[in-house]
Amino acid sequence: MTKTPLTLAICGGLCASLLTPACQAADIQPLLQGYQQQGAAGPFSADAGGRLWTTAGANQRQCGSCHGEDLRQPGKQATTGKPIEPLAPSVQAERLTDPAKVEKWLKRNCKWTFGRECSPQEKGDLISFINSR
Amino acid sequence: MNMNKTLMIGAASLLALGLSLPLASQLSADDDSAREGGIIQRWFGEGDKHSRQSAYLKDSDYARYQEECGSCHLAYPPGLMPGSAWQRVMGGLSDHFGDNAELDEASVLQLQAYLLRHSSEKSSAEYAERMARATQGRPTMMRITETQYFIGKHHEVSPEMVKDNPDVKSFSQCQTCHGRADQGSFDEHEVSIPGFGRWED
Repeated sequence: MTKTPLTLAICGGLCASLLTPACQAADIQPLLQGYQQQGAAGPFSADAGGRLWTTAGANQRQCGSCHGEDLRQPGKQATTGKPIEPLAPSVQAERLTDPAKVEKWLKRNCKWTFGRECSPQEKGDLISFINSR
Repeated sequence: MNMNKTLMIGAASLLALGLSLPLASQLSADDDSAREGGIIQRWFGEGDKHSRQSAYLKDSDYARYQEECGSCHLAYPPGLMPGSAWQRVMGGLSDHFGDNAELDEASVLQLQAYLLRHSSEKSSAEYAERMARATQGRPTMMRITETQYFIGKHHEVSPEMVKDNPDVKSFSQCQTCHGRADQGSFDEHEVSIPGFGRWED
């Protein structure tokens, strides 16, 4: 009887310490390796990704036009106003875990924002930036 | 004898009434008050009505539709547009009303097939049947809000309630006022406009 809360406490503490790093960032190595295979020179830089994040394309569009300034907060689709879940893996654990989804949205959103597809290097930088949030 | 005769006449009248009611509601299919407000329809038609409205939600491709299209806007019930309109929408996703909504070819075909299975001609939801009649033989509109049927249904809604209402902004956000739009329900008595409250016709 008395063991149960103690066991729970130990387990809880253990799980929390084990899970915390995993919840803070996604494993983006497979994505980054993919971009290198597509010709990115590397290394990938979260800082360069951050600069691209705030670069305005045609019509003053930026990534933040929909995703907002703080990636840990929900965004809002610029045209429809529909809420967008936060991008930061630190608050949305499934972000950057589905390569097909990442690729689909990077393709759509680079075209919308910059009027062109992003290069493999830019994609790796952006992913690194998002993963650092 | 007299008693029997009275009963028979009574039964015959009831039968006749029972037969004429559905007929009357069919004949006045374009009359909203007869269709939506009819007590008999309300009492006995709800379950059936619900299943007709929600067929598109039970399709195994709905989850995919919700994921690909519902990320940016309400996953519009496909019965709100005729098949010809859905085909045009799906044929131009790289410029989707100013946004890029590109998908790979296989996904486009899968979702287009889903939309065509539940388009206004195929869906038996009430609004879908009316939309199909209203759009038949007319030029294909790509926006639900540009169809005569939509315009006719919303002509009493003032600009202050939608366009100039910061909590609404656009007619394209069905769910803002039709709280169960994501369930394929557009009943007038469910409408509540932010800042204005329930819609009283």
